[in-house]
Amino acid sequence: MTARRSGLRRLGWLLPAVVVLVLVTVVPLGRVVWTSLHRSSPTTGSELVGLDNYTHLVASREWWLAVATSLVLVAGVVLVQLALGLVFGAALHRVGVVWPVARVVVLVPLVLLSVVSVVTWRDAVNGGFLTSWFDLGEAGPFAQLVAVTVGETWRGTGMVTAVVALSLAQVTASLSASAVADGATGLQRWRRVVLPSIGPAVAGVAAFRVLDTYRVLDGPLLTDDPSARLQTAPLLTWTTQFTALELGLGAAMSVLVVIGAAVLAAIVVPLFRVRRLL
Amino acid sequence: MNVASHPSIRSRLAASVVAFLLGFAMANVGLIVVPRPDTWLWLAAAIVLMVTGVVGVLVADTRRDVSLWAVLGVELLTLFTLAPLLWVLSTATVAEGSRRTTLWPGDATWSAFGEVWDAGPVRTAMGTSLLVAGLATVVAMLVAAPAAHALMHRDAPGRRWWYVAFVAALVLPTFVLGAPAAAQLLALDLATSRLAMAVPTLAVALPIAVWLTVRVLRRAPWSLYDAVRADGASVGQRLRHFAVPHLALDLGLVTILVFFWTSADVALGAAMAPTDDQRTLPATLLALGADPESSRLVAAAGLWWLLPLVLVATVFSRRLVSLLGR
Repeated sequence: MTARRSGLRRLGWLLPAVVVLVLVTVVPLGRVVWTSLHRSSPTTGSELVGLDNYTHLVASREWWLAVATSLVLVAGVVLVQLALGLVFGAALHRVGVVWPVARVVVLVPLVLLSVVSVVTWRDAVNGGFLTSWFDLGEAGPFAQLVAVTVGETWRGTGMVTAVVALSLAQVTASLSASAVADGATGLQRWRRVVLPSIGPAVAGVAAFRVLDTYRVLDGPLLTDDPSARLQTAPLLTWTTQFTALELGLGAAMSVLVVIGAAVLAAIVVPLFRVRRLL
Repeated sequence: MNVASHPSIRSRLAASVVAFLLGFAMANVGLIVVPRPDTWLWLAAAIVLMVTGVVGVLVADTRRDVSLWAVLGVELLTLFTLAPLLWVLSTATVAEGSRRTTLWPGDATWSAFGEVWDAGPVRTAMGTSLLVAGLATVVAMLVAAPAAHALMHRDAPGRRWWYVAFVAALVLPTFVLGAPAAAQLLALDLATSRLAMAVPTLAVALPIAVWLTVRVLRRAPWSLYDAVRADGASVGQRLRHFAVPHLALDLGLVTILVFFWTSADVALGAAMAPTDDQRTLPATLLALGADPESSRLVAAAGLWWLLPLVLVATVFSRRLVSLLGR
């Protein structure tokens, strides 16, 4: 009885946060699942249709094209961010004298509101400086989507850079010196000493960037052309719910987007061995 | 201490050649392709790179512990980071009714920075964001602090799984919560209440608050706390001699970060507000941004919103990076 009471008391510290989390995420998600089982719109009312919305989506070419577009964007953005972040982070680590200023500068793009980044990057190819530099002419929705994707890459690279630079500073100096004394080549030192040390932090930030990029909405939304064939899954979900007002179908898309995020997490967490950080 | 060994002469010479060629190519592109006044920006960057190449050759055979590759990397990082920021400033300083076509903010007019504060949608939206994100941040921090303590020290049942749940909520696509949140507010007849919008916004604020607070508690010197307790310190003394010096500043920083993270969310703000004057700042900028003529206002508002964060990042840069880093 005492042990049980002690367990409850320990849980008591956690309980308010758990209750709030359930109220603001689990309950709305439950409502989304329930709505997804209906054909629902403000004009026609609501009708229970079971899994019809899901079977419709599974057979929909438009939906799978949107999912594929999202995944391509995620892969492109995160791979470039990782590559640039590793290079820039290593450079910052070696030129330590600039680190106090650089650690502020690299974080500025990240803390700029994403919608501001999207608008300015879109404008850069839509009659802006990139148009005038490279004579791009009329930029269509695809060119604008590429521009805002580059903008998203720009926003997140600073975070990866900062994490890499900070992790490199924590590589055990004696281990590194021993490797040098043992005659290890640069590549061997990188593989055997540096990478195992910075790996967990880089894995954590990579996993976060994957899942954060997957849910990006404002970029595709501001470059959207209703006739465009290429849409991301978040954009298609948003327009289905808030433009077409097909609430049931949009809810089914929302459920599939969340399942997609869970699948992505299930892939990247073991792949990057993020569990060590949790 | 650096993990790499002393750079070789060959490595320095190779970096110098790459820097010089890159600068030479930029100078050519700048002169041939890029219109003025941006030509001067290209030439300035080109000169820096070419000088790096020349200096690299001069110091290649010295014992200075300088990696030319690293210097080149830092220069490219500076270009990569600052050029788009300059474009944001250029966009914000264009005259009303015209479009900026150059990266350099020539003929800058600063009226957009003032218009943001005039009575209008952006000022209202800033107020809404302050209210909604501020309230959500306060509530989130109040429940996150004991939760983080339980996750770290109280051996709460299933604490690892709860922590995973908070981290999962951190990366949940928030736009999926927009429709049910709006429907719930409508059902409760609270759709026009800006205060009520803070409740669904907790879905953004709480996970980041728990995650960051756990990170703060992980870094705290708990052996010192045990020692203070073993010495028989009272609760007040523990607060004064342990919590305030070792936790207060970091928790204050976490509160600021949670506020700005929460206020940056676009999807919930756009989904919940039934009228234009109820939108949060990102949602208002999203609506304004659809019209390229309003880009100057969007950029100006973004820079105003960025200013306090840059100040915080400048003052607490070391703590901030280590908090977000490892």
